[in-house]
Parts: sequence; C-alpha cells; structure tokens
Amino acid sequence: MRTIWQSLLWKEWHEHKWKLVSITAILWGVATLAMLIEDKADKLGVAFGMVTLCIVPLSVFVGAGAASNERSRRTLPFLQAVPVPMGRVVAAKVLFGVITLTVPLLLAIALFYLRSSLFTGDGRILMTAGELKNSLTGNWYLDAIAFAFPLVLSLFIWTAATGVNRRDEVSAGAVALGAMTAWYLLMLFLSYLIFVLFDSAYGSNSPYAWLKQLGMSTAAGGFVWPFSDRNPQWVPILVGAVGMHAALLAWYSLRFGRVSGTENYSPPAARRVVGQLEWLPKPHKSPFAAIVWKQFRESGSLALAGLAGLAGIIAVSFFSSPTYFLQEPDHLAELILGVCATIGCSVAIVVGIGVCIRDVSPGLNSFWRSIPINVDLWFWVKFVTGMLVLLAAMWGPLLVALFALSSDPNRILSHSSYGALPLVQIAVFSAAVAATCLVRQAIYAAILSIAATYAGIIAAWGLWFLAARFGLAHAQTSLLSELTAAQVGVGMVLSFIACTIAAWLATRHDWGRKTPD
Amino acid sequence: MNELAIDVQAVHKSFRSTQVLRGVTLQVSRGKTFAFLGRNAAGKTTLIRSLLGLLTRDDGAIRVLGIDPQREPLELRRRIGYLAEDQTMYGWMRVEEIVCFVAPFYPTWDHALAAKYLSDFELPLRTRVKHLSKGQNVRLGLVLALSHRPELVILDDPALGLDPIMRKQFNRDLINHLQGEGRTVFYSSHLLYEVEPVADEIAILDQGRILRQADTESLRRDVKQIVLSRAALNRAHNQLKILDERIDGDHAAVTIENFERAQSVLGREGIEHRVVDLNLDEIFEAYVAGSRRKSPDAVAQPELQPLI
Repeated sequence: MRTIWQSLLWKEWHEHKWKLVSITAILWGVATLAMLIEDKADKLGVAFGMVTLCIVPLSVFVGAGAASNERSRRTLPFLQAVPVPMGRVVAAKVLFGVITLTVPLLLAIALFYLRSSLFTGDGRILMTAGELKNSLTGNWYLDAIAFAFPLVLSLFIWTAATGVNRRDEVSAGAVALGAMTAWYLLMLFLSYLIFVLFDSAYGSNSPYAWLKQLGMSTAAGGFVWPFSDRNPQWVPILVGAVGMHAALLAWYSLRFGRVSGTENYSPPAARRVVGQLEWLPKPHKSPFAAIVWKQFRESGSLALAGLAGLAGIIAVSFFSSPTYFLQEPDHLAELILGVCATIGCSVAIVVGIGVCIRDVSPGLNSFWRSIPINVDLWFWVKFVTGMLVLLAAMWGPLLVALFALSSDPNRILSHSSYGALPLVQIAVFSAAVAATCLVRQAIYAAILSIAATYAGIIAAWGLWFLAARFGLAHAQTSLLSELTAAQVGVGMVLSFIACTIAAWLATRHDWGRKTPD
Repeated sequence: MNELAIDVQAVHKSFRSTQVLRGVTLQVSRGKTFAFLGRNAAGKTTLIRSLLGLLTRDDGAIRVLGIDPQREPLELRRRIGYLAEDQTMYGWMRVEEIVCFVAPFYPTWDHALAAKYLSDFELPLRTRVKHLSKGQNVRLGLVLALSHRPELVILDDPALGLDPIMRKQFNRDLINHLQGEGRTVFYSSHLLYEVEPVADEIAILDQGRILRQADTESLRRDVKQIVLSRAALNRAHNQLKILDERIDGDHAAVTIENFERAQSVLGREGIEHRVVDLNLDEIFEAYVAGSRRKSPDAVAQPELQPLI
C-alpha cells in the first residue's frame, strides 16, 4: 500500500506530466526557432532570451493551476474530506509545479549545450569581457540557470499565493497579475520616496540605495536582484527576497482549500422582496444580439483587466526612469509598443481561453446546446466579438498614447516587428480558442496555444523550404538557414487559419476532451 | 397528424467498447406523462441526449414530434422544452438576464408567460443564477424550458439533489403547469415514488434495454407478488412468468408478470396462494433484479485482481 506522500506525489505527477512534456516541447521549439531566426552572432543569447520570454507566462499559467485547479474541477471538497494535512497537499503541489517549470528549462539549456557542442566541440560559450565582469559564475550555462530558475520560482510562488482559491485558473491568473503589478508599483513608489528623501543629499553614493533594491527584490521575479551586477549588498537583499517569498508560500499553504464559496453548502434561497415590483426587461431582439451581449460581458472584463495590467507595467517602466522618458517621448512610445508585444500575447491567450472556457464545461456545454442555437452563428459571433474586444482594448488606448507621445508615430508603426503585432495577437488568440475547445482545460489550453502559434511558423518555414527545393522561391535551401520576417508573418497567418478552422469544427461537432458531468 | 410524440425504434449507441443502448424501442403518445425509469448508468441520459439530437445514434430510428433529431435538431429544439439533471446555467447572469438571453432563440417565446412563471415560482429577478438555491435553480430551468409553450417537455431527473419538500413542490409545479395544459411530458427518474403519482405510462430501462413499457394502471394490475409453498412453486414454475423470486424455508414469494394468466394456472393446478399488490418501487426492483439474475453478463464473474 502507498504512503500518504506516495499517493499525493502520484496524483500530482499525473496532473503535471503532460504540462511538463508540453512545456519542454515549447521551449525546445522556441529555442530551435530562435537559433534559426536571428542573424546575429549571439544566437544563444537571443535564444535564451526567447526561452525566458516564454517561461514567464508559462510560470504564471502553472502557478494559476496550483492556485485554483482543485476548485475549478470541483475536487476540493473531496480533497478536504481526505484525512491528510493540507500542508502536505500544498507541498506536493509546489514541488511538482517547480519541477514542471525547471525541468523543461534545464532541458532547453541542455539543448543550447548540444548545439554549441556541434560547433565548438567542447560546448563552451565564450563570454565577452563585459559579460564576464557581471557574470556570477564565469560559466554561461550556470549563469543562465542562476538567472532563470529564481525568476521562474518567484513567478510561480507569487501566482500561486495571490491567486489561491480563485474559482478558476483564468481568474487566478488575472488576480495574480493584478497583485504582482500593484506590489511592483508600491515598491517603486517607496523607492521614489527613498530617492527623494536620501539620494538627493548623497548623490550616486547614497548608503540607502540598497533599500530600493531590497524593495524591488520582494516583487515578482525579484529574486534576480541580489545577483544582478555582482551587487555588494546582496546578503540583505537576498534575505529580503527569500523572506517575502517564504511569506507568500506560507500564505498559500495556510489559505489553500479554505473556501467560503458555494461548493460546500447550498446558499439559502434568495427571495423576492415583498412589495417590491420587479419588471422583466424586454428580451434581446435576435439571437445575434443575445450572443454579442453575452460575449461582450465575458470577454470585456478580461480584456480590460489585461489592459490595466499593461498600463501598470508601462507605469512601472516609466517611473523607473521618469526624467529620461519625459525627455525622450519617442522611446516611451516604443516602450509602450514593446510591452504590448510581449505581454499583449499573454492577454490574447487569456481572452482567447475566456471566449469559450465556460461554454465547454460539461454542464454549460449541455445547456447551450440544448437551446435551438445555430452552432455556426454561436461560434463565429463569439469568436469575432472576442477578437474585436481584444484588439480594441489592446490597441485603442495604445494607439492614442502612441500618437500623443511620439513625434513620428508612423515611423514606429511602419517598423515590421511592430506592424505585425496585431497579426501575432490574433494568431495567438485563435490558437487559444482552438486549444480551449479541444482540451477544455485552461492551463493546458494556454500551454498548447503557444505551441500552436509556433507550429504555424514551422509550417511556413517548411513551405519556404519546399518552394525553394522546387525552384519556386529564391529562399534559402539549407535546413539551418535563417527565418525571414515574411516567413514569420506567413506562419502567423497559417496558424490563425488552421486554429480558427479547428476551433470552428470542434464547436460544430462537439469535439474535444470529454469530462464527466 | 402523428399521434406519437416520441417513436424510438431499435436504437443502439456505444461509447468506444461500452454498449450503452442495446436496441431500445419505445413509443410515447401525445398528451401523456411518460416516466422513464432506470438505475444510475442504465442509459437514460444517453437516450434523452439522442432524442434532442445532442448525440448521434449508431443504429435504429428516432422520430420526435415527427422529426428526426439528427437531421433537424434546431427545428426540433424549438418545439421541445428540456431540463437536464443538475442543470448548469451561466452563474454570472442575473435571473432576468438569462431569461432575456434565452428568449430570442425560440420563435414562440411568450415573455408574458415567462414573467408569470417567474412570479409564480417567486424567483428574484435581480439575483445572480449562482446565488440561487438548488430548488430555485430547478424552477428557473423549468421557466426556461416552458416559456416557449413547447409541445413536448423532456425532464432528465430534474429533482435530483432536491430535498423531499422541494421535490414535492416540483411535482406540484409539474402537475399545475404541464399536465393541466395537456402537454406531453417525458420524465426520466430513478426516484419511483416521485413519478408514481404523476405518470400515465412507464418504461423501465436496464443495461441499455427496455424491460417493460406499459401504462401505470396496467402495470400495477399485471405485476403482482404471489406467496405460495416451495413445492407448489416447483410444480408451477415453468408455467409462470417469474420476474423475481425469494425463498424463505418452505415458503416462496415470487413476483410475476401476466397476473391473469398466472391466476388461471394456479387455479387449474389447485395451488393455494396469497396475492400481494405491489407499488411501482417494488415492480421496478423485480424487473431490474430479475433481469440481472437472468442476464448472461451477470453470470460471468470478473476475475479478481489484487489491488496495488
């Protein structure tokens, strides 16, 4: 017979194994593509940057799962009834959450080693004098691990702790992002106070400078501060970072499973107030209007939360160096677009999942399908409304800000990587919708949507390769040649078309992973 | 005009290797309240989902209100009302919002009738669906299923999870609002005492097969328990249609079908016996328990495997 620990670890392993496999596949795919795309000498540095960009949202997704998956699957009452201390359940969840994120990360770094070994023989990556000066260990691989592991760990802990007990993963992720941004802003404000109170008197040699770093080290991803630039005050900063994350872990451990929601009891019957007239409003005029109303209500709040998150991050970046950005408004405009490029894709994933995650849950799937709804109308209205809400929320305010701040907004927008951003976001959005329709689980859908988007790029690259083989294109013919911006663009279009069709067919025929009612 | 509201002929349905429906045949006449009985996992919900066109059958034919659900599911769903077991609705919507949301999908929706039902059921319009009690949730489901004046109402174990008082209230609502208006009701349940007072006709489903379909009174007249001596039972055993038998010492209690014929057999043989009237619960148990004993599936015992 299994021990309690064996049982808990077995359960968590089964719940995390496909996440681990998916994340490994994504990181390897991204790393491989990054090594193909960039026409730069520092290919591995760029590839590691791309892997880090991917692992940041993935850490939030896995953390959101640890925070709320028992509640969203309605397994929490069962877990509470089992005679096991909740602390052990939490420990198993944290252990496997961290394993699910760090093993793929280590495997991605191992891929870099393999590639480097192919070219240099011993796999060593030479560092420049500047890099060596700031290096922690003098070894590129160990530095990469020392940077990425604390980052992943911090984001996972922050998300799990601040999103704990939310009703589903989407809600947990949204709350966690809000909490992380709010804390960051608070620390930034305190830093600004320290700057005003002390630094003005001491200048660059202020003995209180480390206090600012101490504050920032407690924020999400703040574990990197003690190790940045060989910080001489690293001990108290590290203690601050560890203390904050330990407190968050303690909070997660103490709060997990303490739900006062409706799972554990039936709410008392709500009553009509005696004497109060309640008028039933007129119904929606058409099925189209009803579906648009519903979708706007479901996607609007998510998109606005995403926009608020973006605004928060932009504010954080702005206040980190306000005088610089006020002198160089063009750089602020570029910063806004840059933030939109990276975080906007995460928002697109969340909104994409939000388009249909409720409708594919077992009970609601039966409910809406039993109503005489034209499934094609249902899908397309929801899909297009969700996409328009996303684009309007992301790009409306950002374009206003861009035109207000920049002296030459057209120059910035005409830059190919910025001009393609809406295309990337709708490709990611459609991938998230398709993945949600098929796997019907938010965290897996989030992970797979990243993979599906990259699959489009790989398909485009394959098309170019074949076209070149048959003399139809003047593109490169080598397997290891670089990807062009056009190939990436075509990849996004391919991904968008394939994922949209997949989502439509899955909705039409009720395809997808079935879970019992 | 077709007098059958539901006509199911030899329907088969499997999920991978699991056969859920095995040649189900049943008919429901218009204007009747039809109780569809079966244990958990007997295949009730699978058949209901096939009736709505939510599942495709592997074989056989289904006509609901003269329509093939697989060919014209939308047209069919416009004419029927459906309330699922433990029905889930959008929890973030308010009661008034979900009513206004569902209304435009039904061309025959009667908004005044919806308002009347909401008032009759004392449902608070401004309350979110997730804050309703289970009983209110079922009543809201009933409002959504009835406000378009459907010709046929399909109820899949609607009172599941309600307490006895709420179940009685639900049955009272059912009688007031459906039977009073002469609608056809297809009522699936495994709580027999619940359907007994309201059902005109009954079908018993077990392991994907219909064991018996009859009107309630005929069933009560036709299925009885007979208490007789063990020796007498041995004499008449082959001439009786026995559903279930229990032996206690020298006496035997057998539940039989075709009571009139059994009476004449026992009279002809001069066998002394006592007749016991059965309620629907006991009739159902006799059919299901008897079928389990006769079923070849029940004979084959699975090989025991050690637990890891």
